[in-house]
Amino acid sequence: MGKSVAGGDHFQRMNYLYELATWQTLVLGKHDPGQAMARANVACMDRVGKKTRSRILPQLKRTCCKKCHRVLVPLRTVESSLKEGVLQWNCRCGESKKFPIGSDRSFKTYGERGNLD
Amino acid sequence: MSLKEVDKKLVKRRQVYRPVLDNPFTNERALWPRVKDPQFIWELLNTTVLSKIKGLASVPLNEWPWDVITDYNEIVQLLETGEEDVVLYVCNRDSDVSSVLLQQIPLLCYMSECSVTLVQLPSGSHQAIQEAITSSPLRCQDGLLLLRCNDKISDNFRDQIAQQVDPLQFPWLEGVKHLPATVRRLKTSQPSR
Repeated sequence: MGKSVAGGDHFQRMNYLYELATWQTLVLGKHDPGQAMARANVACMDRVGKKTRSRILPQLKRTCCKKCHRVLVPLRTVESSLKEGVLQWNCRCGESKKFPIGSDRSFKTYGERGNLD
Repeated sequence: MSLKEVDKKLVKRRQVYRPVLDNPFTNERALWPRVKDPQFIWELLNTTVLSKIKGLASVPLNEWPWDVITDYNEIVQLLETGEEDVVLYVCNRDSDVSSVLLQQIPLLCYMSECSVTLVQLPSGSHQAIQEAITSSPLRCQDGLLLLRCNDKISDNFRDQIAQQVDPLQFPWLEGVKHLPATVRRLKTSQPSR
């Protein structure tokens, strides 16, 4: 990370919290269905991002459940299915994310369209 | 249109770069295993499987000389519940394959009880696969093609793929190892003062 990035400390903190939460979900999550620590870390990351107005890319945002703050990891916390062109990620808490990929399979987010430095 | 809206349209905007946090684990180089010779892998798939599918149009799927799956739900179900050797070809370089759909595939392969060889295909392969299987009951809309490595597949075929493709690596699963934050700059604009 360059030195000139504004709010670099917040990004570092959020990054660390996310890494920790992912590791806790993957490694400890097998024996801990509640995943309290991982969820607390993601919730903290979310709060830091909102408070400091530090944005995160959709690729990262998609991997967190908005309701229970779990990190969405296949075979641990999320089940995915594709029905009639709609990709659905079902979190263990019951919340689901729906992506209507069938309407435009070549859809790219704003950042993926070459707008990232 | 009101005057206020006209003013909004006329206001000058300047280009700015806003910092955004990228996922440290969605780095393409780290997620998708490297293929040493993509052209060779594509030729191998083409000559061994795709070129022969046209002749199997009238043959039922269970009598095919290999077990091929192209449906996303079936592939995910197999990876979640199965315990066998499979080769999963992914057209992740093609623009007509949804990036959201493929986002979880490498991690799913890693977490699966199956022994998965994940192979990324060169760009343009999605359309070629679709053309090759057009006469068969299979459909490849999702850019995925799974080949079951059972008795129907020769050992030579598996060895050739294994030599060309690196194994799946997820360094962050080895232990708590802090990776520096990947802060990108998003090109956008804002009204100039």
